[in-house]
Amino acid sequence: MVTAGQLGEQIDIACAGVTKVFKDFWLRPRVRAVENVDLRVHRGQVYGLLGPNGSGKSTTIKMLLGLLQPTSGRIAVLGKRPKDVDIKRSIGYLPEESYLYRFLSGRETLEYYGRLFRLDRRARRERIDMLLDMVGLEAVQDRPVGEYSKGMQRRIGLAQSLINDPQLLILDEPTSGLDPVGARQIKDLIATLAARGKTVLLCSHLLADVEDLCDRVAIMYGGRVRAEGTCDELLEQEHATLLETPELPEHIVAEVRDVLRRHALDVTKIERPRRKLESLFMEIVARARAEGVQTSGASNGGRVAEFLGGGEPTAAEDGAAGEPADDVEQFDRGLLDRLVASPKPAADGSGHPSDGMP
Amino acid sequence: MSRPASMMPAAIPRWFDDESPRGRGRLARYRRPLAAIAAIACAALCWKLGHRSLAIAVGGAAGLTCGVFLGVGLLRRLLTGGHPVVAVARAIVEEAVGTRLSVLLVMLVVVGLPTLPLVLDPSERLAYRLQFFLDWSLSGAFVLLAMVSIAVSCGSVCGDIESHRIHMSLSKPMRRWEYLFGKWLGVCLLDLLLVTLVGFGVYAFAQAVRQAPAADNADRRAVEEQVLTARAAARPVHPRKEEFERSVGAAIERIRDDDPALFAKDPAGARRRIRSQHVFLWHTVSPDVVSSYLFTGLERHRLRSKVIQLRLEPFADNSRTTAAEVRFALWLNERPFPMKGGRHEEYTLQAGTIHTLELPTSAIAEDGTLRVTIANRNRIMPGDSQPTSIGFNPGEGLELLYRVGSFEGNFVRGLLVMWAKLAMLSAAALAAAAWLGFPVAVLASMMVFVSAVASGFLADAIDIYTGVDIAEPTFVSMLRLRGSLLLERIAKFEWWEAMKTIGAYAADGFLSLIPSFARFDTITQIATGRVVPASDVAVGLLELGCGYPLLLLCIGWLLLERRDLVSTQS
Repeated sequence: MVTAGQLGEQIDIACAGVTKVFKDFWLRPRVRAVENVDLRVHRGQVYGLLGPNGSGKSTTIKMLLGLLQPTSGRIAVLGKRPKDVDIKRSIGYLPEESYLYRFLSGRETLEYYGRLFRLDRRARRERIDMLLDMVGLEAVQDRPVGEYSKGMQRRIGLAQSLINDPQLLILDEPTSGLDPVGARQIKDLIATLAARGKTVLLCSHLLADVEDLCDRVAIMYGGRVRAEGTCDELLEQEHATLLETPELPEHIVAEVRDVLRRHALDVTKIERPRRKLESLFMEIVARARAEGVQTSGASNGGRVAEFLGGGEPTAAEDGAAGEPADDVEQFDRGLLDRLVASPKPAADGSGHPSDGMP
Repeated sequence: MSRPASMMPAAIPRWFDDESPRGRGRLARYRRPLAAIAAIACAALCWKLGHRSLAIAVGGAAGLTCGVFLGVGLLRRLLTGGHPVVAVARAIVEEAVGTRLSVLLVMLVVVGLPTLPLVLDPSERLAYRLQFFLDWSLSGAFVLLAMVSIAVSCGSVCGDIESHRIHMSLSKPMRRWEYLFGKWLGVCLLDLLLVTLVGFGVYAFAQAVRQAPAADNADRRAVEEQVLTARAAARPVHPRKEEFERSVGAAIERIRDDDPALFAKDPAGARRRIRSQHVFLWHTVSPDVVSSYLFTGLERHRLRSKVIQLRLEPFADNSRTTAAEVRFALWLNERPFPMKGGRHEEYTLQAGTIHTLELPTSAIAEDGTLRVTIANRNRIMPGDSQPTSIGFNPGEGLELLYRVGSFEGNFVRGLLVMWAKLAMLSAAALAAAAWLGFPVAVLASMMVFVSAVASGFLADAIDIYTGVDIAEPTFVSMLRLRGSLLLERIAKFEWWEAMKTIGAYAADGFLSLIPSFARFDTITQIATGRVVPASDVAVGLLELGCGYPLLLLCIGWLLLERRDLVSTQS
């Protein structure tokens, strides 16, 4: 059994046997949303919580935030109980939908959340300016949030989750409602923050997002964790080998087949690799921007706000969210440069999460 | 979408069709000053055309609207601190400003207040018109502001919970009591702003009504001495108090011996009833009998006017006849009053109506006492053998009123108590919203409001419904009496009556938890020129503005603390 005391500093989230049963008015059990869930998320890790709708991801997150009481089991977040208000100074939370005050403007919304963190006026102003620049809403900062598109609301939601420079970032479906450009920027941001030593709990049912970003993944279904491990552990196919070469003429393919036959093996599939649709999309957008084509709504966004705790850009950070780093440079050459601009060294010098295990 | 430049008429400025955010901002910037200028022009036109009341109403509505905008701006400046409580308070102010229901209710106040003087009947006496205006404007504004408080409080918390905004707020380092307290603070500040504006508005329009021509000199004096003033009331004591108390005691002993059953159930109540009967007898002036009433504590340094008022509501009837008029003679400290041409004049007044007789302060003795002696001079009605008696209801039926302060000070004190009531209501609404959905929370809050306003009436109604009659009951005596009644009805198998008693238990329990607003009826006090004592204001602020709200917020916090903020999951 895991307890807060046993965890040590390097485990930011620990759940042991957590169960949540929703009851009706007469206190009769109605829905068993989460059942006997065990989780451990280490500092600096990007942890993916995966599952279809209704699998218990959001309920688990709400228990981690102290918004729901577990029916049984124990939870420690940053070494303390979720209801402890002090730990919330170090947590950033982006819910599955941006629940915002429609009558407040973008800037007033961030002012509101900044005040909840007891930030003084100067710090608030500086951080809000940086975050608005980062999420590309500087031009529409004085418009009521109710007039924002869904994507713009997600961006302001993301900005509020970062206003306290959180150590632990809990993101529930962060890319929902965003266009592929925005989704890509958020994925890059997550990768950058993780490289700077932040812990990220990413909850999504978009498998590609999780695969791109997460160090470890838990797959939930029916309120239970059905599988847990690193992406490699979970996805590796042990009984197949993939060779990638430049395009081969037919006779060389025939020769390869012959060699394999000599070893009593055969080629099971030959195909030309395809680019990801995301990278094609990014390329088109980048080209259009380069040509100066105008669009309304949120702008491209700027660099990662400087106040978000820095660390040396690592190889992981350079590669950001997986494969298409080159494509990102094409659609917004400046963005990634600025994303990793002037980083500060990490406190423990570690670039990667699992170094800090208790 | 912008029109092509070629299609745009030259008279329309370019920015008019500019729908970009910058263009919209420019339009919005000019909208309010333009509306203010239009309202001033409209008022000036009405004044020029001779519709002065209409001009004042239009100008007043515009002024109040400006006041709302300026006040909200002031609140925004006030609520700029970096604390969660302040942040939540600021957010609820913004929410109130942006919510249609609350804006509509505030607009009703802003439009209704200036309109009220227009509907006053000019043929009425000016003092009555002014009283009517003060009473209705303050009562109407209070009801509307109570609705605003309830709507904003319930709407904000229920809206936060139902739309999950509360998840975003409470995932930040903010305790749940800070959240509720911030909401309450915001509503209280908003109420303070609105009460202040209502105060300014009512005062300004009262001054406008005051300038209207009075029916006669007496009417003008009544406006100054009976409405726009702050008067304390003195109730009479028996001139031979010890003798009176002895006779009451003897009567109680005699009746207890004669009818022990009367004392068996409710001895204190029986004593009170016998005493009330004797006081009533003392307030009855039989034919050819004089009755004296002693008023004390009227030291001249406490009086701020040359006249004091004897307020009386006489009735004249016996078992057969109800007279339309009463005739009586009056002596003040044994001197006949009034003397006209060396003759002691008698009063002839309409029965069943409140009258105010002006008495000179010079009639008061050095020790601050005034003995008022009344002699019955009623005529014998046809078919009667003797004249009817003259009676006064003990309490407000016969009292002496004297000025102790200014109308302005009294008005401010009354508004403070009104604000305290709104603070209590908003706390009740927040506590309800911490636990219930919006419609039920509003319903519960309205029930608290109605119960607080009409608690005395409701308690009487419950007593009548269940057939219980206790004069000035205490909580314990009420419990005991109802308990014995319940057992009695069960023993007689009167199940329906027993159910009614159980219902009355629940209703009494609910009413005993709700503070009575009737105890602090400052609106009537202001409208009738009665002083709102500073002690009442202090008790009102402590009880309604602090004690009850803190208790209710604690209840709301306990409910919110234990509440799962996600109630259903598929």
